[in-house]
Amino acid sequence: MKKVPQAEPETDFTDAELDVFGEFSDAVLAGKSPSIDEYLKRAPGAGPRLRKLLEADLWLHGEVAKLRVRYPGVDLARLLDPDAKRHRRK
Amino acid sequence: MLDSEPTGGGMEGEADYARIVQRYRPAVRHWLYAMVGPGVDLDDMCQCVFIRAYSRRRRFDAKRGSLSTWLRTITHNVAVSFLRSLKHQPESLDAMTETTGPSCAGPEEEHEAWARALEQLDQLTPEERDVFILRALLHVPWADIAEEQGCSLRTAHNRYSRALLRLARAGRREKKGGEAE
Repeated sequence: MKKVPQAEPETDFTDAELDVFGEFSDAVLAGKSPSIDEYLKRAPGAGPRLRKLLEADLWLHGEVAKLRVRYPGVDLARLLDPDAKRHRRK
Repeated sequence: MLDSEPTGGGMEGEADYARIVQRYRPAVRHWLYAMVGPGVDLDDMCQCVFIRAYSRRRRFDAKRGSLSTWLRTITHNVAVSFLRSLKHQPESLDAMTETTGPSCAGPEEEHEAWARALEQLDQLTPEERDVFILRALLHVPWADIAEEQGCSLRTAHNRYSRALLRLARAGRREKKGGEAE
């Protein structure tokens, strides 16, 4: 069956929530151990989905950090995507 | 390296199979090494890739992509399966971790949860997958991701959030022993 191109799906997140998420993610990458509750306060009225997203971000970075220590010789980006070399920064 | 495909790109008979193995074996080995690193028997894994390719040869459609792309996908899947199977092969795990010093690895089920999450990558759109790789593994700043993808910051955040929620859902579901969320 021919695949029909689809429009990019929207999420339920508002611009404010996505801003908070972006800042939270930056803090996680910077190793600052950000408080989820503190960041949630920056988006008043944010639903539980935002909490779930921030928790997911923390979970993911924890998992990646563990993998990096456990498999030091493995290029994780290329493991996940054999074409990942296209992502390499010049 | 693989600038041209063998005639037709198919794998109909044993002669085709032998020709393709001979042609692509160095590339498959190279891809495997890049993905699983040193300390692994790449010959066995190469064999696995080609056996899997042969058994699924009727699924290959040259109209949908080149033979090298198809083999690359199989190689990727074999490598992921290999990492998932490590918990059943402690000697291989030791070989891969012998240079790490003190291990901070969590329980085996955590590794399994991650492996389950990885399988979800195939469900992502190419854009979501790219954002995930760029952000989670290569730590590229949001602005650069947006620029690289030719999209807005909001779209980059959106793509990453969708990838993240899907992976986390899969990982946690596995961790809870298959319990639905």
